[in-house]
Amino acid sequence: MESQPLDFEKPILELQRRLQELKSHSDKHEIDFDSEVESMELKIRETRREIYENLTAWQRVQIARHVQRPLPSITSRAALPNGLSCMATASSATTRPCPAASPNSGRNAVS
Amino acid sequence: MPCGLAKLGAQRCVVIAQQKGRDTKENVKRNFGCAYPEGYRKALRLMRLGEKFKLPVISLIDTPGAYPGIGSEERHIAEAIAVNLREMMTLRVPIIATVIGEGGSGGALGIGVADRVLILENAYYSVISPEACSAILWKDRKHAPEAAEALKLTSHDLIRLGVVDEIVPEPEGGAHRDHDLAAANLGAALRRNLKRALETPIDDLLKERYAKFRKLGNFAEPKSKNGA
Repeated sequence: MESQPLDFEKPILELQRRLQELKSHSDKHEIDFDSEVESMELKIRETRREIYENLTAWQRVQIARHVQRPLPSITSRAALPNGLSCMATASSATTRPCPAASPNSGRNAVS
Repeated sequence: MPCGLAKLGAQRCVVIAQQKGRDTKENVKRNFGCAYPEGYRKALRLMRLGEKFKLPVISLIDTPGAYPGIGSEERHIAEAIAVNLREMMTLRVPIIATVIGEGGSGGALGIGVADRVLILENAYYSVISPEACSAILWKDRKHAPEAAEALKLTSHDLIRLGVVDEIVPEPEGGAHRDHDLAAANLGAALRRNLKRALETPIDDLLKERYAKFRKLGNFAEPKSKNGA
């Protein structure tokens, strides 16, 4: 799945971009860059491990809020394979009085 | 607050959930995942239905917090959440709650009183959002990262503090990178925990549920200078 990167994932993206460049250069000029490609792939794996094994609390909050994070409707459909239209009451009017909600309303919630 | 009936394998159950949106349109529809009092009351109605028909309850938590607007206050958001806390504590069916994204304080607790509280590896559960905490303590939201550290809101902090019972592993980089694997992990954890809860006599389960929440929270009193 193509996912939208978070700020702290940028070093991985940069390495992936360089790897792609290296591969296309190798194809274009028919030069053997196999060992460079291999070491670049290793570096990407190490960088990923380094980043994801040392996430700060704030970075985890950003992952928890990621716009592509699985929603209950997706999670329950997959985790509960025999789900019986369990979201049937989702659009019940009783849950949506919904007066002017601002895009920041969630971040201010303290209850 | 999407709620309804479902099956987990062969086990019928009630699912109550909080849902945010993917874009502005969906977020407006879902009120940015911030439920109104009516949402908590609807969840309780479904939980009571579960109790009546002996269906365990699965709760999926993902909210920045209950909606703190005037409409919520007018319709008694604190009362709605408080009633849920009381009623969930004595609901005579197993309850398994999972924080799948944001666990925003009372908004999360309102459907979070359970026999087993699970949390996805990168989800958080906190008394306040880091931004709001920063705004109160520093009078500026830019200290949110420091607030996040101080709040001890990560899954690893929470299991150490006894606030949650189990961490559900996520794919490397987060659940958004592989929805199917994240859901499969959660499904396995739910099945295992639900099986154990269903095998426990309900009176024992209720005693354990009460004891579990009563022992939450630790504090240390500083020693006075003379060591007394």
